[in-house]
Amino acid sequence: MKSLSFFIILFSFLGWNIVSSKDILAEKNYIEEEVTDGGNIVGSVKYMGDLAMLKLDLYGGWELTDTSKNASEKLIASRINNGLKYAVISITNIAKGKKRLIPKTHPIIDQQRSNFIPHVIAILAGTTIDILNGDEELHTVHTRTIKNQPFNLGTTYRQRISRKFDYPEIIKLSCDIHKHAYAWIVILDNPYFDITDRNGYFEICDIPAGTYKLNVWHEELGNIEKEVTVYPKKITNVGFVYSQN
Amino acid sequence: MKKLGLGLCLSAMMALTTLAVAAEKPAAKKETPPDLYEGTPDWYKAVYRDNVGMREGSGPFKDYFKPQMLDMYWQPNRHYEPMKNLDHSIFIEKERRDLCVTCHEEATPGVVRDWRSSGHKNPKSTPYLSSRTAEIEKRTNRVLNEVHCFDCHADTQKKQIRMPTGEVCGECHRPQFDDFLREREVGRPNHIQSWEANTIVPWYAEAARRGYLYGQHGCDLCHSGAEKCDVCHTRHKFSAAEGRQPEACITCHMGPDHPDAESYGESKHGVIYHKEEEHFDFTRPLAEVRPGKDYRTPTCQFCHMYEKHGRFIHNPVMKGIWRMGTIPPKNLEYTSSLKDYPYGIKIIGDKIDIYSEENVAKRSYWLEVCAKCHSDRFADTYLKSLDQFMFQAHTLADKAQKIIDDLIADGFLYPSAADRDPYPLSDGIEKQLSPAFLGEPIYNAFKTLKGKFPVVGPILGVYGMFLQQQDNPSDIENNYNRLWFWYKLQGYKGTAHVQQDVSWWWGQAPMMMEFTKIQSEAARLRREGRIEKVSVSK
Amino acid sequence: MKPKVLLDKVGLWSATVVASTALILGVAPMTAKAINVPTAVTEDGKNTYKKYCSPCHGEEGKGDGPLARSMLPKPRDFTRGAYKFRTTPSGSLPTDEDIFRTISYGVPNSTMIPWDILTEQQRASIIPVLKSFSEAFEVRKPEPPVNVGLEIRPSEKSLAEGKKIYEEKLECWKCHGVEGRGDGPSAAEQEDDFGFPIKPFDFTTGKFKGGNSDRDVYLRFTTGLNGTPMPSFAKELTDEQRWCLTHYVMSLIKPEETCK
Repeated sequence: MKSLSFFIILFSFLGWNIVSSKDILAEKNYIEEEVTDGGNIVGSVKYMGDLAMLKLDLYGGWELTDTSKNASEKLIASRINNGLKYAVISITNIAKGKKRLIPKTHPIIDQQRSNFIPHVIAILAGTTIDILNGDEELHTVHTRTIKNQPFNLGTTYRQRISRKFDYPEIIKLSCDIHKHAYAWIVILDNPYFDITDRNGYFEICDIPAGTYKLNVWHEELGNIEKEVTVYPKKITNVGFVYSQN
Repeated sequence: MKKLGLGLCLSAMMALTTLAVAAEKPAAKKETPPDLYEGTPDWYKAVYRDNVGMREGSGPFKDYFKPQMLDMYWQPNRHYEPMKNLDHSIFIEKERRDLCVTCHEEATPGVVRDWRSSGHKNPKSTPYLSSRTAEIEKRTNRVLNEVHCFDCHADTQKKQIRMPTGEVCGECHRPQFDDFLREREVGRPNHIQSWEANTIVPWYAEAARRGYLYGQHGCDLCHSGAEKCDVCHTRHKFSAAEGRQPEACITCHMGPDHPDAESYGESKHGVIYHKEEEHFDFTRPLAEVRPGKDYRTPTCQFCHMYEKHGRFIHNPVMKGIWRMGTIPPKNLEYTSSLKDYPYGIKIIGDKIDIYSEENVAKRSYWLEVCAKCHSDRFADTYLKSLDQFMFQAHTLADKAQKIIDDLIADGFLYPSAADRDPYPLSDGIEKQLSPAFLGEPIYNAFKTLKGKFPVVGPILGVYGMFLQQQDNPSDIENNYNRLWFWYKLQGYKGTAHVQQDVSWWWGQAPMMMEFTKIQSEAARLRREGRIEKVSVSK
Repeated sequence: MKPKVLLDKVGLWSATVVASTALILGVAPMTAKAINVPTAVTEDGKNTYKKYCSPCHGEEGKGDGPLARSMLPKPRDFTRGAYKFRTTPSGSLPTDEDIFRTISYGVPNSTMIPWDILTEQQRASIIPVLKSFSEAFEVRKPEPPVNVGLEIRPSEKSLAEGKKIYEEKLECWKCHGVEGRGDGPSAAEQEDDFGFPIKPFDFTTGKFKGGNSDRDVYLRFTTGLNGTPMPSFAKELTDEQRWCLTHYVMSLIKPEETCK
């Protein structure tokens, strides 16, 4: 069974970009308008599983490999309230709403001590990201997309690479020299999304009243979808729970 | 001045190259192209050589089975079909030799590297090779600086890839090819007719018809040596030195019917070979081998490919006297039906006269080989004792056959031939084989009795080892098959190759054990038969 | 001028002329006129692809033709639009000329032979077919080719500079090995975008996959090899440094070992 699930995980990684981006692809032709009496969605994502099990390196043996020396950020949940970090929450079927504000300051992904910081980043389509190298050694930044232009660049200390992402997609950014290091860039085409903090909380504001599909994506645990109704100037509370299985 | 020289040299080279390319090659000497089936009747070519792809089998019983897909590699003339996935005709049409290697260097790198280390890649790399290449160049009127994939694998007429057969090799290696062809002169068993031996026997087609085609995979692997040279000189190195090593023979020449590998390998000859293999110089042609220096003991090839008077021939069957040990000798008084040798197929040949003029001459050629190391008297005595062993073994087989003959005559064989499945492919034998092939009486028996008659002993009686059908053959016949086909042959090889254990424990001893089994089985059958008669009459 | 010197000159010149004529004759057919690529998929293109390309690359361009299973490296899967040998920047689609070049010259060290056996028209007709396999060509356009600067002359100094880049700045040796044998510490774990293991190139063989000229080598690390872990170093090096690295990499070729 273990080997089976291992293969499933492996396989899903290979096909991840294609499969998962379809899951949370929002509707096209989003119409921008002024939202005056929008409601908010506030909530949390929890992971009720056993973390220790997942951190055990079955193949590493007693000798710790380079990979396991670096704490994996694949699955981080708060020990206090089981809040899950790095889950991306988005409304997938919203046709019109607040303006798509593309940040003027480029969000940053830094490579420090051979790890990408932050591990997951969610951006609006059309945003430019700056990818830095903070280590005094060579890294590469490698993406394997089809619609967004892929890239694979070698970077040395203090290099800054700016890349614009035009199409909604979930992109895995990796370094071929440090195989354990990777980050996720989640690109969405409407501004109603958030990423959970270290206690699993998120907040999405200024949503026109209505019923929407709210989707949560996590790299390891997959997608959960819920229908949520938003009332004008009210706060709707939502809780997502990933159980062990 | 030097620079002028360089310039002139370069210009001259350019000019010469252009000339060489432009000049038309002189027309090749008219020579009959090599033909593996030369001297065989037309019907033979029609069932063994003419290409039918996978549509039908080969041999006289071709209509009774469809071949295995693999047979296209074993018997290319008859069955090869070029691959369908990628049409290679464009490479052949435009004669793009370079592309073969470019692609196959990666697709099948082992093959290309093998070829690179072969004499074909560098036919003039050593003085010896150069001299041999020069001979070929002279004979074929070609310039050979490299023998390339294209030269052997491209069928420029049909514009497709071909699987080379001996005929392709024979274009250049004509003397070797002609020597190989001479195997037909001495008759079967030999290599060139091995596919014939495989498919002409009725049980092959019958087994295929009954759903055991793939069970005969082992048969196909050895018997595929008929058309191809890479059986001994493995592709794509095609090394002559490799062909001179005993290991070249042993993939086929082993096992219960001809334990050559075992008997030679464990004999003093073989043991010394294994011990001192690295000191053997296999690069020397057999004719130039200095026994005791280049070889400390003989190899299979050294003895069997020695023709006569210091000459070697490129086939190992010319000096064979006992013909694998299956054919009974003329020089014995037989008590059984072996007297007439009824089931020996005519194409294998009649009984052997060990003391015929031809065989006596062959024996003297054997002694020429032995005399490289042994005294003439010792060698002669040894080979005479081999003859005596064989006479005794055939006498024992005769006694065993007599027991079964009598059993049949007295009506005690159980189940009787009338009550069991007929002889394999009886319907086909009658239609496809001629009286000349089987002998008049056997042919008539097939015609009238439709295979419902006992076939015992050499050669046709061996069917029981290849195809068992309902109650056919019976236990006692199987015992007899083992006696004459396995143990007699094992004893023969053990004695001939001087391996004491094979001679006795694999040969003589089990032969006698099998004989007593036949005796007691016969006694039991007679007793049961008598009891049955008494109880029926009561 | 003394007669002897004159003769020397004549000899030298005739040698040069003969050699260069030979060179031109050999090279000319490949570098002739611009190609004429059809804008849409043609029947001719489809047939040519089916007959000569699909056995390895598959009827739908997925790199899964009937001959693909026993091949390593695997034939390219065209559905991602990732082409290794380009003149365009990392991640960009290739230009038509790039594709034409790869078809015509083939990829050394692979089963991709130079398909100059097909007519130029046939080769060109395949290009729209290849493009039709990937949606990348619908949403993106190839970026303009990168600028290849004027080549500097190889010298002791440029080689030393190249060595420094290879060993210290870009750490090429991590994958390609210190001697360029493709045996660096990170070599074993590399895999391409399709999940197949991929070996870093062994420079000592001298058969560069994207071509053997200085310009080709220059382009490879400037544009990267899409679909593989080989990145582009476009942002890291000045034009001069690139030529230094090119010369250094070329100096790693060991001619005596080139024959496998």
